[in-house]
Amino acid sequence: MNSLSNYLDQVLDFIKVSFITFIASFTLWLAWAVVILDSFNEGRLPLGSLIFLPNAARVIAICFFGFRAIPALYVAEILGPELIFNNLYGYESYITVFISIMAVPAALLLLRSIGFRFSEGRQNFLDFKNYRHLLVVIIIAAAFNAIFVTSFLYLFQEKMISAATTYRYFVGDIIGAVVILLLLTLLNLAFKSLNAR
Amino acid sequence: MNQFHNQLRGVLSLLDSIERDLKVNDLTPNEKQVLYTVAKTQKQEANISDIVNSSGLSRSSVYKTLKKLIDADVVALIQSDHDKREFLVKLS
Repeated sequence: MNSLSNYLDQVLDFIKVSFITFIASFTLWLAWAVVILDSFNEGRLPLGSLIFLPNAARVIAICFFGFRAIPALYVAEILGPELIFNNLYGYESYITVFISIMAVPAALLLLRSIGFRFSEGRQNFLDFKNYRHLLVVIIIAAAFNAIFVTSFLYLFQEKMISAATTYRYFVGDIIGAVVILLLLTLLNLAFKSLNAR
Repeated sequence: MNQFHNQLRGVLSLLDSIERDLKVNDLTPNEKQVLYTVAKTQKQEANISDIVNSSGLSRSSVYKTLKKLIDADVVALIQSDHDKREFLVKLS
């Protein structure tokens, strides 16, 4: 009976994680498409993909909730272009989105392979409650994403990919995640101020 | 159940760590109001009268708050070039 309760608790946790991850990722994708891409199209911003906001949801969800956040991230990032832009990026995005999301676990695996631990109180542990540690994952994941997605597009889709495109993916992922972290910090601060009154 | 809540608390701790580095985590509402007024000013430095007017705080509250913010190295006072009796406030 106890094991059934534990199992059901885990299922409930998975549903909560999936729900919150889906909402966060889908909202960020929507915000990126509406605010950033529109500004780019209207000439107010030089390049839309230089601030890729949804990357923040990928990194935060996987680092804090674990790999069980991956299905919800995938569904959110596929549904965004599919519903709002009527399959804007084509079916190849089913693979590129997967590669982009898996860049975060790949970054964590790389850090683990060189000896980092992810539990508190041990030597060489990475504590994501410290934003500097999270930044390391953001930068490595952005590099993996930039290299593997542009390689896929070049090798299998035969698209012309310049070094500038790879660089833009890399920088865009980092700036996008940092912008969202700062916005969340300001929101948290405002929320705490309201509660204090 | 607890695991999910702990993970959410972890996200909030992450945001707290950013606040600590931005030095805005332990500011009182008055300090935040003054800091916000200084930060949003179009000029590089804010005039103390501007802060009094836009923050809605009394002049003495603004002076007290500014002293705390200067001690915490969040803002700095500089003397105005035009009027040596006037001080301007800028972000540190």
